Amino acid sequence: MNITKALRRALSTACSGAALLGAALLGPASASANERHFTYTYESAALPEDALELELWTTSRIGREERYIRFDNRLELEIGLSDRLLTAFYVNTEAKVSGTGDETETEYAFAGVSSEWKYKLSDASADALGSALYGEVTFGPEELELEAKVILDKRAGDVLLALNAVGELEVKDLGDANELEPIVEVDLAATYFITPAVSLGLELRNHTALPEGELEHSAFYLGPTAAWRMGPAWGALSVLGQIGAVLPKENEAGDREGVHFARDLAHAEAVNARFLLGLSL
Amino acid sequence: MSAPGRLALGAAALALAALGACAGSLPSPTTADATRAGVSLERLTAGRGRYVAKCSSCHAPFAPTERTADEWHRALDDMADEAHLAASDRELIGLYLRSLARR
Repeated sequence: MNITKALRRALSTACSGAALLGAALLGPASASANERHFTYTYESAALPEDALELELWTTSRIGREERYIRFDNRLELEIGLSDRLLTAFYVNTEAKVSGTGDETETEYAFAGVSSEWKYKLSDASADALGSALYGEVTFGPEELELEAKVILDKRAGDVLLALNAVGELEVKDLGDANELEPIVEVDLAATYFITPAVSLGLELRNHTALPEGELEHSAFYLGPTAAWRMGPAWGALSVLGQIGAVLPKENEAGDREGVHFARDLAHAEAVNARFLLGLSL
Repeated sequence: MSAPGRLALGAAALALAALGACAGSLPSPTTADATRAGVSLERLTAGRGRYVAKCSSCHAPFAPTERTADEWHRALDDMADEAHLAASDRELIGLYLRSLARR
């Protein structure tokens, strides 16, 4: 019953966002979209000056050692401040069902607000290499998160390649006992434009968590990604499966002794999927 | 970052750089283009900049040589309203595209 409730609330949030998008679809729309072709990997493109875009995000994180299903939902308003600089504001919520055996815990929570800034340095099509700098700060009820990205991409004919180097610092349990968790991520993606409005490709993610400066895990995810555009709306979907992780190896005395590669379901999920729905306002 | 992660990052950066080097980019106007079109090089360069700024966030910009000057004139008529182009942007973009258009 609890599972049903949590899932219903998660779906309700997603539906509210979709309804907002639907309502906006009825209004006048321009072609000033900033559509994305990947969901984890960012591109250097920025919104034109004065353009507005609404985006609905749903990230599903499924399968750990125990029962684990989590939905992270975000509603984003993106604003083009100049032809190179954009900012965005997010409202975040999360729903989680976890447990072992007969015990199941369900949570639904407001997960904070975020502020994003992106500055485009060069263009993926017009210049030899597209590039942008990205910063995001999230204020949550129990954590503060700072994220910075260097974005590189290149569009050559019907092929688009993108690479992100991401550094993240999570400060958990704000108060007397703060816990710092640095995260390093590398995202690599490639896609082929089947038509100018439809693309199909692959995304590869390497997510490394370093709590207290020590390697906890470095997980690799790989999977297909698809994107499409229809008038002022666009969508993108990726489904990534964990292919394994670099994990610290311990000797009999419990001391760290090198690393090994294995599937990690203690700290990371078996499947991560993300769906983005955008609408130019 | 793990060793495989560093390797993946390095390989991807190399692949992007190689693609960037091979794929070329939108042509920059030359003095010869400006002389032939009878406009200043600064205006043609500004036109390229506005073309990238206003058009490439929605679609990959087409090379000027993909259309003739007349075809570009019609294409700009079609796109100007949709892309909310200011009159000054439209003029600069048109100058750049028509000056380097297929002949």
